[in-house]
Amino acid sequence: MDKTNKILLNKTRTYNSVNVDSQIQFGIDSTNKPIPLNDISTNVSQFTQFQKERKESTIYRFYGNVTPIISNPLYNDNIKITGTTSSFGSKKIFTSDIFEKNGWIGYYNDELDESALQFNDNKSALCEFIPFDPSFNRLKMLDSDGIPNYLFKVTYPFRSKDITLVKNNSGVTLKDGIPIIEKFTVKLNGRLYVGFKTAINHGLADQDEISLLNFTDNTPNQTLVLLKKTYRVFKLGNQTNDKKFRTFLIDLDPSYINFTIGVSTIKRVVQDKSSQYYVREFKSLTSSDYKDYDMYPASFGVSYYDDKISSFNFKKDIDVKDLTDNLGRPLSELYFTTIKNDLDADISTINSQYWLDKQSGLPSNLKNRFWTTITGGYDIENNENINYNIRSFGDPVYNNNEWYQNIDESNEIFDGDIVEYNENELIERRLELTYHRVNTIYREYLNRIDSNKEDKKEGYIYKPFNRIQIREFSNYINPIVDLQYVIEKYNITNQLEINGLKTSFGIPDYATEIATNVFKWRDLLEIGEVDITGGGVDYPFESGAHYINLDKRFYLQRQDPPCDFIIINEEISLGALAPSGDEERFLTYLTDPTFLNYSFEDPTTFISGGVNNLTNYNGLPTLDIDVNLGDFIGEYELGKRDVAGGCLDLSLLKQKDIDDVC
Amino acid sequence: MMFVDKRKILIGNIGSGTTIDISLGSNFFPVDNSELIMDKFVKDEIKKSINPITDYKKIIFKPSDNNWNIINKFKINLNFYTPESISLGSPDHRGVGAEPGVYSDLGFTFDDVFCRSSRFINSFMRLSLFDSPYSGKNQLLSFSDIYTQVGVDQENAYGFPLGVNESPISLVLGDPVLQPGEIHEGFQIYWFQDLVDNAPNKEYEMFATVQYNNSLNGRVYELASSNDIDPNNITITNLEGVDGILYLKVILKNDNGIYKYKFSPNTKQSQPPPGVNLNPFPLGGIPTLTFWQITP
Repeated sequence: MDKTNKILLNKTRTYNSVNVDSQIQFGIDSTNKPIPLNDISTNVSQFTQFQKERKESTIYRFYGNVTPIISNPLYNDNIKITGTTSSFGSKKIFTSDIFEKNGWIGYYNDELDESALQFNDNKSALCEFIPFDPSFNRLKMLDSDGIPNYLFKVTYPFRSKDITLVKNNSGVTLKDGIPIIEKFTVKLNGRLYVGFKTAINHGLADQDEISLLNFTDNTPNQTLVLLKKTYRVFKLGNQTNDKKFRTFLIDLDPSYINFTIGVSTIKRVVQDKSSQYYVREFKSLTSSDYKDYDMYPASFGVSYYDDKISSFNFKKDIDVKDLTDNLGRPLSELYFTTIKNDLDADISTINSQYWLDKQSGLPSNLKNRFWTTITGGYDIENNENINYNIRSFGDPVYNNNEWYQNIDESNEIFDGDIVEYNENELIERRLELTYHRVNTIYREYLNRIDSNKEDKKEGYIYKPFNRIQIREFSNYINPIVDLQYVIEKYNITNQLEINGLKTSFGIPDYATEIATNVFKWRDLLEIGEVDITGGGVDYPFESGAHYINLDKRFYLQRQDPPCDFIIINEEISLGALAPSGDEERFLTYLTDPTFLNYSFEDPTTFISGGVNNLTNYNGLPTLDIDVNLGDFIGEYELGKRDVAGGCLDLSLLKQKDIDDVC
Repeated sequence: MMFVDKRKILIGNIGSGTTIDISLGSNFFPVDNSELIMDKFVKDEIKKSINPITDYKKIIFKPSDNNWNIINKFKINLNFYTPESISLGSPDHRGVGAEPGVYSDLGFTFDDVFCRSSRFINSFMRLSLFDSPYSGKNQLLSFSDIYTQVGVDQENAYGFPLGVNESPISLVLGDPVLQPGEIHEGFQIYWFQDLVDNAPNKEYEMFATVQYNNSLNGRVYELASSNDIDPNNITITNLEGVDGILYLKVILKNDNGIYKYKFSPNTKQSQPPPGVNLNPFPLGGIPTLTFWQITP
């Protein structure tokens, strides 16, 4: 026995004390537990432990490559900038000296750089190709000035919003459906079908069910019953089977139905449930200080167009714990986001100073920038009633339209894609991807810088958001769980008990409640889990984090590449009696990038013995010259275009030579 | 409150300081604790037996000068005992400053340099990184092999290789992005991010040594970042430890999200001629490390 207690009776304390009954409380604590007689052994599964850790981890690490396709067809001016930062100038590069190299427009250096004259030194070589501004140092994904030209972010869709896609006075917005912008007739096998064109991709397939909202029923007795009835998509595409993403046919006589632009919309219907249409907004999970990732050249990595592939590694771990998407579901996708920045070059260089000097007369919010702020929109149909058409930005006809404006690389929230969601499918479908558009300040406001020139409003566009699928929802919908039946059967009224029931039935928080206490949802597949239809994701898990390799492309493209042209003929007189200014005009034309050729109006008047100085015709009376210039025409009125689009068939400009005749 | 056993103590039976024995009987028998064992004990033991997750994520650390400003390139000079001084029995380095030796010191000929012979281009400098400056107990963390270069320093103004008596043994390392024309191997250090993040002041120390592997004669030369060496009286205390000349301290740092490293010389390595000169004067010069041969 560990402890001995002595109990002194009262009579021992004082002489007149008497003993009374006492009760003593003993606390009995057990400090050990019976030990089993046999050995206990258990197996620990490495695979199970791996799966457990993998399942519990919400940390993601991203690394990979970006293959850029970048060039400078929208350059500021065909000039060579010379001098020093305190005293600089420029020299016009003649059209004949403008070259294209792997998509970059520039010139070959025509002067030795004496100060840098060294053997094996490219800077001093006469054959060095120098692109016009914006050059490599402002556009390439990686360049050696140490100043990033783009900012990478990781973003996720965190909420949704509504927009007015087509202008109207009835308050109709994207949530009311996809707007119709055109009606047409298609004749198939002798039968007429009505066709409609949508402002954006409709996301429909043959035989899909749609509701036609705010259309006009032209039948005498309103037999179309548009408010109650849905219609099947007979076929996608127009009469020539083109434009399948934006047009569809219904088996109705075209005279029966009409539409109102901006007001008439369609919605896809799945088992009596209409789709919802909205814009997703993306929120950044990384900072804007370029510290969250490293960038470096990929070894031996070049694209077909000789653009160097860039590798990146996010130092920052992305934790998606407790993050939910715009529908309140755990995240299944993140977005690798690329944003063009403004401070992309050393501001102390001659080239930077030259453009700042040119822009010095502009308002303060413009003159110190090289690039405009970013405008966001979509590559959608060309119609002046349609907002958010990224290719139309800058066209005066569209001046009153809407876009997402003043986007900056430091933003935390970005407007994103247009999606469709149907509660009976429980899956989002992307209809339109977001585009960002930037232009140089010089081009955008050229008329304010030089009143003799018109603005060059065509800018560069690119897709900023690249999807990273981190989880996948199952390809089949979980069977509907009717908790209400259980609740009623056992008369459960306590909400805590109801919540407990939800847990025991495995109903996730994001399940859709299609009726009171009746739920349906798609399971979010675990990483490494593949469902019977092949859905699911699998990628390495290491060091407590999921590693996802990204192999992305970044295409900086023209806003509206001109696919057509006309030839402009200018008549000029040179010589002693020529109008003043014609000589200057002639020289200007020779440096215009769209200059094609010149010819003598009457070759017989050409004097024998040649011309020493064509610009004044050797001081002789008059020489009339026809100057031909190309005028490249795009889909939108975006000012003068210096470079034809890749879609233009330049063979039409080819000079006839002896091979064409003999 | 329940009393299992209640007793009355009679006064007559008790004197002063009486001891009472109270017997406590247990009337239940534990049958089995298997549920508790399987649910808690085994799980707890399994949990204890599983190693914690170790983070093997490595990231890039860029070199910086004494003020923690990141540098785009730096040069490594290697200075060996001259053959003439060795033959005279008093080994001495070339020059008195922090300068490189020349390739003739290593026995290379002009043809080796001009033709980039195999024995020339396969010779290399190995920069090794250890966890402590004591050879008896340190562990090699990583190393970089930097191969012999014929760069601007080894050429005249016309791009022609210099003679071996004037061709410096120097190696220039540059940032792969900012100095695409330079050699990048050995420029950056790749190390575990969490070790640096969790180090005091977010500064993690390593110790570097340099060896030169000469393919001409198969010899490996030990070098140190100080020429305060008496080749005839080399002691282990002169070489090792934080105050020795052999190990050059390297500090890896998380500087507010920017990961960088710098060479941090001790007193001997700092004294003129300094083996580490990361902030050259006049400004604009290339940061330079110089290593001198230790043993002839």
